[in-house]
Amino acid sequence: MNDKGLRVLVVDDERAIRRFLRTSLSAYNYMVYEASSGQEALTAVIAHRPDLLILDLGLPDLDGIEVIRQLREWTRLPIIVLSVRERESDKISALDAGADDYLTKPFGVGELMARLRAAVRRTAQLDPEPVFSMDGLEVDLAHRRVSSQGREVQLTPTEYDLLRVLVLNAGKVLTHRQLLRQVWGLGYEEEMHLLRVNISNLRRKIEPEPSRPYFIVTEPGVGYRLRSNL
Amino acid sequence: MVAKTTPRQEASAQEDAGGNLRPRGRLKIFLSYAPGAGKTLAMLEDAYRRLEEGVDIVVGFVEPRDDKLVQDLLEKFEILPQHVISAAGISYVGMDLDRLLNRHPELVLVDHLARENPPGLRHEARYLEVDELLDAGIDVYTTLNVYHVESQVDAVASLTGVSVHGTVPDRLPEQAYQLELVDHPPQDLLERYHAGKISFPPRARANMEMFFQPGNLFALRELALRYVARRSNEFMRSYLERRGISGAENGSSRLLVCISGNEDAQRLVRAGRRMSDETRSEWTVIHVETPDQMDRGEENRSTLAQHMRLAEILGGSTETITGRSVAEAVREYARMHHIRRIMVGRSSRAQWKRFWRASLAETLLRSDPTISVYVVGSDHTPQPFRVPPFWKWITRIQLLASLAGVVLPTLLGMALWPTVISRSANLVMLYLLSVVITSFFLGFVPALLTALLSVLVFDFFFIPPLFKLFGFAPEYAFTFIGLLVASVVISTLVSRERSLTRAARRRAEQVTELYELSRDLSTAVDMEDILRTILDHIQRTFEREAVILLPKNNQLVLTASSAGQELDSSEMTAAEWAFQQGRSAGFNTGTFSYASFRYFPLETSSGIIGVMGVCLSSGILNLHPEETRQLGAYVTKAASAIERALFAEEASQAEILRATEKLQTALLNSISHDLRTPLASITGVLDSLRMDDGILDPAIRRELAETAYGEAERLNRLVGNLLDMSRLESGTLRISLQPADIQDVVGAALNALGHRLDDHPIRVDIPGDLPLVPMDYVLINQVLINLIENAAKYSPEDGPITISAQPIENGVKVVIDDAGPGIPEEDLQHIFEKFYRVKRFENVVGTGLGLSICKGIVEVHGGKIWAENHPDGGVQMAFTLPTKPSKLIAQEVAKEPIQEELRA
Repeated sequence: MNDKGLRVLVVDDERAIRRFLRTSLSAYNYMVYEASSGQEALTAVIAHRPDLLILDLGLPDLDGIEVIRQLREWTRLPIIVLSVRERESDKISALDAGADDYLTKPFGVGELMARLRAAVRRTAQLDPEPVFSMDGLEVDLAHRRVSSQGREVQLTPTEYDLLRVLVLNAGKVLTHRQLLRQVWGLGYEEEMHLLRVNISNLRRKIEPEPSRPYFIVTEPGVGYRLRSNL
Repeated sequence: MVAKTTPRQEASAQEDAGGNLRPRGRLKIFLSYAPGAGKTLAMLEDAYRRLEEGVDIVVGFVEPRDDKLVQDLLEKFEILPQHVISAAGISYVGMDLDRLLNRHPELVLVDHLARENPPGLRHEARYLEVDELLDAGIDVYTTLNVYHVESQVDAVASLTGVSVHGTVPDRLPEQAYQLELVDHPPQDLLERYHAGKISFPPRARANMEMFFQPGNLFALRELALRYVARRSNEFMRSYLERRGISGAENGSSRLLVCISGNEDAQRLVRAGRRMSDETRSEWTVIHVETPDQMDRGEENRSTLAQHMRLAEILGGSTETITGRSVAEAVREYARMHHIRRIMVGRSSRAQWKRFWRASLAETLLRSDPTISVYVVGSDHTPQPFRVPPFWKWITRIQLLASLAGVVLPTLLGMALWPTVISRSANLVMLYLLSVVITSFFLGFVPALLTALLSVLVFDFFFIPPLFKLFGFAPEYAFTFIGLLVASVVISTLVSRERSLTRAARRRAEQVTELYELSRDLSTAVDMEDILRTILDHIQRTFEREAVILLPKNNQLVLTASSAGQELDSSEMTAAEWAFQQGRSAGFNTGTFSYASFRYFPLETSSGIIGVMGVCLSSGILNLHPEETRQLGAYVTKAASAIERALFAEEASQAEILRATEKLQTALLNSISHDLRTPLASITGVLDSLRMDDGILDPAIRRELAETAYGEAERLNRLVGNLLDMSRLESGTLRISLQPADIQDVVGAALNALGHRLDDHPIRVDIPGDLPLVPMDYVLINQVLINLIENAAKYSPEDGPITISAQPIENGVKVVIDDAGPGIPEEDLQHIFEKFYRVKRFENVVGTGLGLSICKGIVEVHGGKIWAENHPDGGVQMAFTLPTKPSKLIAQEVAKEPIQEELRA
């Protein structure tokens, strides 16, 4: 699926990365703009009004988190951050500050595209699709019905809420805190065991092979993601 | 090895090389003959001139006085505050030496070089303080009166009748860079004195009264003039010498000065100094210990020690030797050292004694006609020979024994006479025998007593008229004289031989002790051993406690002590001073004499490597001169043994360093190879694709790209491993523990491994009710990835891999089984070591880091990891994680406010 004419702003201080991204994205018919620093990014967003921002967290001048915060004060522009291995806390902070997803360097084009699409789709849709269907998993949000491999699955209200949040953000990562906030509410952000247990139960119910989860993917150290091949 | 060069070494090095070592400071002395001559003023004026030239000058200590000129000048300088000490309720002021050393000006002004310091200050005398300043490279100006110069003391005493205390050793004016005579007309000085215009400390009043007599003042002035003249002569001569101008007479041969323990010795020493000065020769002060002197009490020894110390202060070397007689020993010594000039004191023996024996001077002259003997007169009137009280000569036991020595032969005689022995005169032999025995076992005096009593008793009991003394026939006179003479001669000889034997035995003992020390030191294994050996030997030989201090990180530290003592700060200060200055300090020296130990610097050719302290303040306070020599030998031996140990340590450390570097190089090579190999593939492939002009088949192109991609992933993993490893090693790994689901982590690991597991059927067997375990998710994820990947690497195609988990006491155990060929028994323990690769699988790629990273992570969690072989093939790797980890290393949780959620 080519998103014709969608405008992407790529922000990274390393020329090689920018080049790689520009080449790959142009091949998919995206219009690519570049910036190499935090300040440049902020001005570029205003100047070019992109539909998506790819932002490296290791910028020299402004802290990536700071850029996100400043942007989030006035725009809901989808933001994907680029980070490196072992910086889970950075990723979590970025996501909590308002980024939509992240990519760990080195990454491939396939991953990039998947995340891009997921991020853009979110904002594009004002009315989400009522039914999520993929690879044997069907979630009917309108009627609150879930079935896996044809068989209907009975979920507790919490489990359903959890699945619902995942579905609404299909393809995007959600941090533990975000999940806890959205499903259990404010004040529950530290209750990791609640989340774990419920994820575990959910998997056992909807996954064909619970020990090798296919749908609900763990993002180590960060959160969870519902797989989506849209 | 850390060694400190002594200031002396530095100074001499400076002379040789003219290099960059800091030279000793220069001393300028303003010398005069009496107070009030204007020395202080001259000093200040000179200094003021230099102050104007821009020299950094500080006033160390100048006593305030009424003189307006002096006060005015004084105010122009920077004056360092004085050091105030309170002792016994009285406040003393002194020079603040440490502050001066810290301030380190170019020049310091110090008045009264001859001042004696109050107790509590580091040095007993001001000249020692000036010494320290000079050693530190600071120039000093000071003032001095000629009557305070050590070598002039006797001259002053004979000229003016005043014995002066608190003198300055000659080496200071000698080494002085400049000696400026401050002269003043004596009449004028007298007038000023009587007008009360001259200031001096109240305790010197008596002396001043004597000095300020017209005759005396003139005499003192002449003394001062002559002293300065002689010094300038010296300068001239050494100037000539340095320029190589001949005609300068080199110092004539060495002078030997013989002293005994009596009072005259001091005078003799000073005379020796003067003579050596005049003839520009080296001199040695020698004391001969004869056997009868050996048993002498302690007072004599300490007097002797004082004299020896005086000699050393005056610049002579000292030695104590033993010998049968003084004359003989001196003659031998002179012969051995080719000494032609001997100085002795006038015999203090009473006239009557001189009848028996020639004086030392006469004996020496007679023995060797080529030597010159100088006899120094003494104003010491020889004491009349007074018989010391009885008990000084003989102890009670000895008394009883000698009486027995008389009684027994008498009884025996009575039994034998007149039956067995007819002639009573023959009984003499019994008494003689008794005297011989007594002298052999008891010594000279008891034997003498026995002899005398024997004669009387013999007379009384056996010589007619019986039971009456005297009145015997004249022939018996010969018997008595014979008996007496024989007895005296025998006892003298025997007791002397006894003492000599004892002395010889003692000598042999000392040599044996020294030999044993050497032998034990050579077999000592390490530093600790060596130190212990030294301390043990000192304890055995000298019966004193000792300590050894060695530098560590540029700080002197108590490294060994014979009785486990601690040293308080005053002791440490003395020890540090000895270490810094290269001189002994402590008990009975001029510096820090209040310390209970004496500290000897351990000096070797590399410099000063430490300090040894010996406790001298308990037991017998003064060291026997031989003991001092022996102790010196021990210190030297100790120094070289410790130096040897330090060298050995250095060598082994160098060895370790070399081995470590070798290992590191090997590792670097291995890693470099492992990093370059995938890069080679990637570069190769990319190059082909780059150069391709459409020749290559798209399928081939895809295959190439796949290869490169796989290699890139592999490289990524390797880099990750290396980073993990370095984080683990450096301890910067921070784990954040959160309760997690094992199934979750396993699933994530399997997911991450992706198609690397395509060839292997995976079975996961984890119970649903397994408790959540606190762990760092990312790290344990990594552990599982490594372990499962390992299983896949070493399993054959289609070999199943099973991952299971079960609860155990206080934790959870995770097991990964594969169906591979297993691991050789001897390797099982080592596979978790860094870079270890099982030899069988040489063709398998990987750096060997994976398992050691797992081990590091698991152990940081407080768990254990191990591997076992299955009886029917395959390897089982397992690890545990505790449910209650004892080490909770929590990462800081980001405490930032949650952003307003902007998504639905």
